[in-house]
Amino acid sequence: MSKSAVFAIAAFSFMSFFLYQGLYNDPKKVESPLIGKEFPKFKLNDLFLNTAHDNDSFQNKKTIINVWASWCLECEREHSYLIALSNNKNFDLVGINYKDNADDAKGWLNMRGNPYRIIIADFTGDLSLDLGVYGVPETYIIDKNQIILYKHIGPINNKIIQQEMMPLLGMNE
Amino acid sequence: MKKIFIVIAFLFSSNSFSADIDKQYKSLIEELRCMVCQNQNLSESEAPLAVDMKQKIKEMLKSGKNEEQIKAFLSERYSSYILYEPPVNSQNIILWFGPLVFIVILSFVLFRRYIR
Amino acid sequence: MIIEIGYIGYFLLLLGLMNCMLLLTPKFVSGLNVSSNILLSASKLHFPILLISFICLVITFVGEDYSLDYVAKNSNSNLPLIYKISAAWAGHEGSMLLWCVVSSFWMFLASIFSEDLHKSLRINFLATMGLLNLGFLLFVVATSNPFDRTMNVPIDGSDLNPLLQDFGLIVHPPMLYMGYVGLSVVFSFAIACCFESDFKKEWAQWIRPWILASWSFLTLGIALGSWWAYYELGWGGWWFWDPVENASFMPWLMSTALLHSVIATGEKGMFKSWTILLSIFTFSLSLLGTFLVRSGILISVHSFASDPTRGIFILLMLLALIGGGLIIYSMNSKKFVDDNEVTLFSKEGFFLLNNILLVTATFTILLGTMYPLFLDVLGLEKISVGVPYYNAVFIPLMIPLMLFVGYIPILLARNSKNSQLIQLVVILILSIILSLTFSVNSILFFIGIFSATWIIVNILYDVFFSLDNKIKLKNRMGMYFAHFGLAIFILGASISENNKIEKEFVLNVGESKTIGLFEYKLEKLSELKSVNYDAIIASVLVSKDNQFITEINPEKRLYHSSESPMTEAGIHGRIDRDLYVSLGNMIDDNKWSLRIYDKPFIRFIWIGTIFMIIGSIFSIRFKKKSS
Repeated sequence: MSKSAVFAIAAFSFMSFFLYQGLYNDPKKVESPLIGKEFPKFKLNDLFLNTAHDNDSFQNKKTIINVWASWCLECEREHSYLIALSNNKNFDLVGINYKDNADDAKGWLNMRGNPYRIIIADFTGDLSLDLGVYGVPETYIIDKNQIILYKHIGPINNKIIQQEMMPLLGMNE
Repeated sequence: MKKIFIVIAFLFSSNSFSADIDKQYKSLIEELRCMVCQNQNLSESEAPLAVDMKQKIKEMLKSGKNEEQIKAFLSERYSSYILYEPPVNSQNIILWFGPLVFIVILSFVLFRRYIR
Repeated sequence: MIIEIGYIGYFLLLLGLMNCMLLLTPKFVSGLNVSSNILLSASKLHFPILLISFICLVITFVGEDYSLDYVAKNSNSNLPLIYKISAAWAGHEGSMLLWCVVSSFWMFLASIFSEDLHKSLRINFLATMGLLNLGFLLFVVATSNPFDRTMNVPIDGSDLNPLLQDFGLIVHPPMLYMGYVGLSVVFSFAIACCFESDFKKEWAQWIRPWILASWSFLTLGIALGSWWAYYELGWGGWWFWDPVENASFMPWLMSTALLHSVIATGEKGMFKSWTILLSIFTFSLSLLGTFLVRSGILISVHSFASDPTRGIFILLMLLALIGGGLIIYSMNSKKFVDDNEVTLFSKEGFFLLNNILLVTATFTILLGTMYPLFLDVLGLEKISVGVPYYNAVFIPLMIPLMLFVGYIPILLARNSKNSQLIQLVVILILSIILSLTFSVNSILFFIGIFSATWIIVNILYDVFFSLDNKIKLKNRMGMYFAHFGLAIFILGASISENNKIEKEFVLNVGESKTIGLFEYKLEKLSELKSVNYDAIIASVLVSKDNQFITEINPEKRLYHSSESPMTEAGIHGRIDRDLYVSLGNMIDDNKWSLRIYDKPFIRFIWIGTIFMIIGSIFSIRFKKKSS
């Protein structure tokens, strides 16, 4: 057997391994480069009140930040999970209202209940751009120093909450 | 049915745009990936997020940012995935220099075997 | 009645499967000694069986049998008849069946035209083809059966993807498959040759028309796909380096390399083992392309529903065929001894350079296509490989290749070194002068224009001085046409890219705007209700110096079955210029954003490919007689 042929077969098997592995990966899932970095600086209004929020509006504990909009159909699916999460006082739950209009957003919450302690109104999408948001809903976890620990794109569900989010929130039991 | 075609048209709000910036803008949006599309650049895409990004890029260019700064700004937030030109770094070294190594080896093997 | 048709189709698939096994029995049960009649007749019979099965599928579409899952998912009673028919190969299952039909057709041809080959070669050749056909058909029956029934039969089908409701996409897949699968003939022949004691010159001559035929279909398929993307996607591009395009471009580049190296093997018995290796790799890349597209492993504009079991099946087939092919090759490659040695400064030397550049170009595209996947599997940062990468690595490989292509006629002129030098200088100066008549404003553009004129002037010069030598002209006709087509293609690509004007702006009805040489007026907007979509059609009047030139009608369509609107560009096409208008977003009732592209000479891109195909047909026709 010639050397180059052995090499070709080796290269080919190597490639097959990757092809096989690749079958079980989601090519559209992109890891956020912001994990481990600080939450971006911002100054934006509250959705309901006439006050402004900035980085000091976060409480000194682990916080779930959920990016949502009233026009987002998928947000509907995760809403009950957020309501359930809002009952747990060990961590905070903050909403970012993305590219919405105040009346629509308020109406949407009135019908379905408001799980968020505060809601940051990001109508221009600037804060969300800084966060690298590209598919609402998105869910982030930050620690008490406002370091981003986790990002999930798309609606959350029980499995994601139990397996991925709870351990990071320090709820292991 | 017309309603469906209406998309918020930030993109067209500004017309004061110098030819130089316009050229930079065009080449830039062709090199950036639309994050929500299958495989399209920003220039081709009319998805809302792409329209926003184009607007942001326009503003940044107007405020004097150059191409490199804008690419860095976006890849810090959206990862290098947004760049159609992969950065030359250690993880992409084979991608960028593989072809060179390949042609050298192939030429060597074939020349040695066939050329008198 | 219609229900039975679906069963007949399925029954024929199973019959085809058995036919394939029957075909292989003489090979594996009793070796070559027993009569090979079974093999020969089974290899011919396979095509009619599958063809009728495919026709059954078409009938179920026309007859609206929505109890078949595949029909229900890809058709609708409102579809025009032509799309009901073409929907048969629009989805994964049906297109894989079409693939099998095409494959059986090639085997049919191979069986008929291989009578002049000696017995053991012919039998190994057809048996390999039979094995491939068995594999493809097994894939269809096991994972992608278009005749599968569904439990809850819908009242109406869910419609054909609007993007596919287009003439270009009716003919694009069959042409592409003819090319891909045609290469399996070449593959099988190469494998069969490995079992012989030598790779004879005559065999290389025998296989060359098959390479040329597959290459022509592949060229046509790719050109149609690119033409479709140009007028259908609405942003005026014709090549995007999308993984699916790459998947078809890799076998194209490799078969281009192969159809050159096989000339040297056929004429002088050179590069024997290299030609065989290339044959194996060329078909392997066709299969790899299919795998990449069908498994959903990469993000691309084509999205077939992904299903890991299908991916695994194709991967296993890839492993068996390519791995097996490579092992067979490597066990036998030592025995192929070339009849002659090669000198660098000869036709064959240039073929070698051509092969090095084309194979490296293929490797580059493979690397660019697969690299994001590698990083992903290794858990590294995900990246996108797009146009800037390919421009940076692919174009530098093509520049020397174009210079070599142009130089070929000088190289082939067997006159003295001195007159060759004079010829070179004359043509060089002529090409430079000609290319400077274009307003050149970048180096890359100049290189493009220069290499095209360099190729054309060389050909014309050669033709002009050999007008009295009819045999030579006839022998070189294929080459002239193919290389001329290449030059035309480069001209089109270079000029349209360099001198294009692209503008995006908002117009009210009644407003107009001047872009480049032309004035565009948004005259009116009208609504249209068609059977399966609603549309808004704009009427854009184009004039130059107040002289009316044409009306362009771009459309936005909303298909009833789809949520997102489709853009139908309006194109005013002339040989020297395309004026291309597409509708962007609606601002309000009488106000739209428009994209207007002015693309000079873009048609040369496709005209060039037509010339290449004509050249290839000439080569099939004439080459054989002279040798």
